[in-house]
Amino acid sequence: MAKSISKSTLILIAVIAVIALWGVSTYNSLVTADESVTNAWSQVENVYQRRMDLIPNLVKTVQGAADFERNTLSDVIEARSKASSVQIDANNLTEENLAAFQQAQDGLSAALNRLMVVVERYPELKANQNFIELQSQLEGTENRITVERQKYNDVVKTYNAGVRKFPRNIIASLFNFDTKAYFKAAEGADKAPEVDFNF
Amino acid sequence: MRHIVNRRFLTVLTVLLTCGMGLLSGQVPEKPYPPRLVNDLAGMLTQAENDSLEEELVKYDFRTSTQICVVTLNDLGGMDIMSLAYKIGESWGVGNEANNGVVLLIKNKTRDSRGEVAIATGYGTEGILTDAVCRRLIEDDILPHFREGRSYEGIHQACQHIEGLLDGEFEFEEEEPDIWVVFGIMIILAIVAIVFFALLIKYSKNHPDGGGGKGPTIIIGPGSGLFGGGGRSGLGSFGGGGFSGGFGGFGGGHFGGGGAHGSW
Repeated sequence: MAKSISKSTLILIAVIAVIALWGVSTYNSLVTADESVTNAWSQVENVYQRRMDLIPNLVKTVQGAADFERNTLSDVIEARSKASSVQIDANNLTEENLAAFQQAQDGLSAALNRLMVVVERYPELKANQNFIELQSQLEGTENRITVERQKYNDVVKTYNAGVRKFPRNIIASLFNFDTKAYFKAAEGADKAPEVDFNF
Repeated sequence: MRHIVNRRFLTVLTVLLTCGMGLLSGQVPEKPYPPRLVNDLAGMLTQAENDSLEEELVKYDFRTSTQICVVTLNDLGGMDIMSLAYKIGESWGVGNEANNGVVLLIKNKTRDSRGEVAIATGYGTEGILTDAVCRRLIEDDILPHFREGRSYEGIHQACQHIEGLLDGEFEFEEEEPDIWVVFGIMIILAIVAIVFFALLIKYSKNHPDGGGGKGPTIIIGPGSGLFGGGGRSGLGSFGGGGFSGGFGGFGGGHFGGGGAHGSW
């Protein structure tokens, strides 16, 4: 039987053990951060879906009273199908994917805004109970979208910092944790919107 | 010359400091300390109305864990009222674990601007206080009174309505003290006690006057405080027997941006 393990071997083993432990704990915290991003993303998808769900009813209500606005309405319907066709899986939150998603959703936002401007010309519609309710639901949904996008961005910021900082980035690249994309802020999103009545 | 400049500087500084109670542009009002559910920063309520509303809302929080927070302002600092109401709710943490907070934000009518009101709902309340319901609350309970200058009645009626709607939905979770934590603490205390006594005995053997009858007079009886009993524990909450007045603090509830708004 050989003599007991030399001191330097023991030290080496200890160092390796410490590194391994650190590696495991870093990996686990990256997984936790990743899960937070997935969760935040699904919240974002939920609120966008909520908006999608409101649109058929909105279109039907407007169609009744504002028959001349076929173009505006069909724009909204088209924008809605385009938006629902762009889906992203939480594992693929790259810059291009998110940009495409955001563009499709922003297209829908623009179409809806144009519709709301047009509706201003129809007082019966503006007084319609159903329409009033839909309008307030839409507004609430737009707020929720803003909130969840902000929360998503905050979570992604934490995750990205974890993935990019040294020495954690070693573990991150070893296990294919990629950085995730952010939502780009809309200009003046916090300011009260001004409705211009001079077309 | 220097004298005048200093005076002006002081005036500007004073004005800026007194703005502290309201809003500097784009900022969320400071979380109140000591915490309060009614924050009448625009002075729309009398002291009596303020106290009575505060008492009612604090009792409601105590009974149901739901926190309804009222804030009045004279100026929104350029922010959209729904965004501000959401930010107040989220940053102050109105509501408890069930995210059952509600923020009622009022911007008073001034000479050159309309009055505005917004209700922001915590995630947990969205099922009952839907956007449409909030809109109705504003249209039916708040605006009619506000148009006639009856601020307290408008606010009070809305709060009562909200209290009624949310009644029975939420309650405080009794936090059972974790049995393993209790066990662990007891073991540690036992070890500490044993070590302590051992040292004491060892020390007193060496001491000429020691040994014999003189025993330690330390009482190790942590009492109910340490183990939390059956009541709620946690930062900022306030449990125990009867209601003894005073708001225990915001519980860290989260908001999703839902609600509604209106103006008069």
